[in-house]
Amino acid sequence: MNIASRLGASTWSIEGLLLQGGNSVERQIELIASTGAEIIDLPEYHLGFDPHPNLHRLHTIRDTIKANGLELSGIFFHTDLVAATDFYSAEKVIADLQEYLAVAGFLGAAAIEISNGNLIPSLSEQEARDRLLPIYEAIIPTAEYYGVVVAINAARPLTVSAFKSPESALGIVKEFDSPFLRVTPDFECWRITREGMPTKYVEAPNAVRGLATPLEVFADCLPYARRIEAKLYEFDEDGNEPNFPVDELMAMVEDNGAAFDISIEYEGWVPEIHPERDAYEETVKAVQLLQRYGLGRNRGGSK
Amino acid sequence: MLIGEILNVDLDGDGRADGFQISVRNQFFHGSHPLGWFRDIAVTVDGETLPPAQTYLGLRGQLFRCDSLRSILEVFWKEREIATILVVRQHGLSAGPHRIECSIGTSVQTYTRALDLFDVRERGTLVLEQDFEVSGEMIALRGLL
Repeated sequence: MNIASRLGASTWSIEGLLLQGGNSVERQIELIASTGAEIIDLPEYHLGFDPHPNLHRLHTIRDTIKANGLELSGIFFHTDLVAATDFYSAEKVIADLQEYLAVAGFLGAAAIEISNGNLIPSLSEQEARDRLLPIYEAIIPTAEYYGVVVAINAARPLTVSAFKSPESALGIVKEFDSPFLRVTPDFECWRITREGMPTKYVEAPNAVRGLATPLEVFADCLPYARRIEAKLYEFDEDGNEPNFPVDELMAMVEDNGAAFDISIEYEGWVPEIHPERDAYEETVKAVQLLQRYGLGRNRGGSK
Repeated sequence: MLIGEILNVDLDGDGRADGFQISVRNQFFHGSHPLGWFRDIAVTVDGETLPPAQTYLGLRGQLFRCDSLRSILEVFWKEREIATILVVRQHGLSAGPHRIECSIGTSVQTYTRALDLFDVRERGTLVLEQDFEVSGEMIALRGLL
């Protein structure tokens, strides 16, 4: 494994604890640090994008990340770019993304993580793509200015979403071939269908989960990726995750040889899976699983 | 999500109840959303659905009429933040037990700073039900309406 690769987790991994008990963002950062993570991902709503962050608050969060020995890898913004151009305008979408990049730059984040979103009924796939490309063209210079990568999250198989799939995100990234526009392959696309696991998606409840994406698509994404999202749900007695071909995916990461930020999204805490399990303890298991592949430093796993 | 107690409110300072309010905590996943994301808020008391035009969402000292939320993009109900739902109703609620139902329409649209103005994405409805014991206590909320 490239020694410059970094391993960490999103606070989403312990979001269930926040919903139950109201942990502060500062406490969530401390918890992620204590899992052994070296990087952290934050969602937009922890930074006060409601609608605009408080600068003093951003200072506090930046200081808290540093004080806990972490580096900020990605900020996850919930976007639906094509639809938003229809509801509002491309100019509004570009302005939003520019603000996101500016804040990410201030916080020292490596990337903002965004989603193309899904098609809308009034547009063909080509028309939607024609709306997406000028948005990326407009924000790449801003990304360069702030030194922050725009990472297109690819978390859905092509059979479920034309624009959230690795294949479609990769197509857009290749169109520009900029180090500031990258694809983020999400393990979710390679999830093995298993009985008892969710087959639908929150943002598309009528869409039944499609077949897993071919493994070679993961390898295709890596030359155009800065980050990898490691969605994980549960661990057996040996600490293995039965829902994903983790060995195969991590072998491809090693074969590629480049340095990546690998960010865990433990999501077994949702009501449909294992709400009874301690999300923190499970996140520690997730970190330990990926440390087996030579990632990260072993900083423990103690609250 | 329905929390705390239900209270009668005096809105005009005359010492008599003009309505009641309940508290709701935002427990949605990806919880922070503009108010326009929460539509079709309706309150039912003992089987009687109250008029939306007399129902308000209260946040950080501001009141928003529930049938006027649709386009509000720049006021957010934040994750885990407690809002109040205020219903204007002559005499408020009588003391004693009441069954309260509160339904909140939501969207699966995922762009936080945009609203699905044309209902392109699917919508869902969350229904909260709880039995409350209304006491004789009343609070004054002058200056809000």
